[in-house]
Amino acid sequence: MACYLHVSTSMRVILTFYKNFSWLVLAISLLGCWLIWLYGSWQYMIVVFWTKVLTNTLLGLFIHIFSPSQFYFFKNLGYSKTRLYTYTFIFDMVIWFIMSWLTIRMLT
Amino acid sequence: MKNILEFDSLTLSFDGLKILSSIYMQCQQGEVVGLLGRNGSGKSSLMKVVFGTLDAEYKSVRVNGVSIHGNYDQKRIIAFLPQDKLIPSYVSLRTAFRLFEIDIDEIISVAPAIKEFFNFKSQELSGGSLRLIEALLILYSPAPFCILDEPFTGLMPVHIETLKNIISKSKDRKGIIISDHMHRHVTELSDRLYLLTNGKTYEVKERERLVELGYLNSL
Repeated sequence: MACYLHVSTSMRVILTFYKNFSWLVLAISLLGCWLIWLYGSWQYMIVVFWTKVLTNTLLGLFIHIFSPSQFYFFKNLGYSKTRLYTYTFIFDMVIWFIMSWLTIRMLT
Repeated sequence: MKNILEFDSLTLSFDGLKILSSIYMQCQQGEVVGLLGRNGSGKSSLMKVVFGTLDAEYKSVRVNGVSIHGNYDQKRIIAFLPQDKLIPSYVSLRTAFRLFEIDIDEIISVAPAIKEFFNFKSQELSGGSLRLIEALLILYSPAPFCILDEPFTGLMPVHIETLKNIISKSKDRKGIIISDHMHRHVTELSDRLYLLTNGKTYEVKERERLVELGYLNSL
């Protein structure tokens, strides 16, 4: 029960942070799915993977430079910058992977 | 047993200029500790170092005599109200209070005037109302210690009185460190008072000491 509550709280914190820029990272994931659908090859996932790594890094830098005060909020919740970025990146990659996998399944 | 937060042996420099060098402060659960100092004396830097958002060359932060290292933010021992805005503009106040695991009804009972704001996002509020709400968020967070950096900035007099009452009541559950340029409010609230000057902290037991140390011209 305690573990469930911890995961649930962590998810809420990550989703709150993720919501801030989800439109951009989800648009890139959708674009990746569209490429797979259009050309019928899973190999586009490699290109999209590196695009996502790059855009997530740039987003992190942008927030770090132009909106650093929001990290006090998350730090008060027990999330350092590194922990917040890492968890959010993993969350985004999992969503992208599921979307890509579903697209490939629909093709086959 | 009352928890005790202590920090000392703290060294911080910017571009070779020593900002903090000889620091000792202690805060017990059940007391309000005031920190005064002139502009640029390093109060905010000291608070950030203790909270863990600013790296010092060396620091020792202890709870009940046990040194806390590394990412102690995960343990949520200290809650911090920074000078800057705390709640991001894209977060509604209701969400903020839920994330901090605070009962909204309890907050409304101590500050009924803020009830109408809960469905707003922080960017939709006036600076003063937001500051009061952010201070409540920190004071009611589960952390046993709170650090408030200029909590009275931008507050109208009636909100200052509300906040002072809430701080006085909250100290039953917490240890609170407070710094503000409105020194009369700080001295009135504090059970223990420190002055930060020339990178060193001095415990102030008599108000005359504030004049001797050059913080005030006269009483």
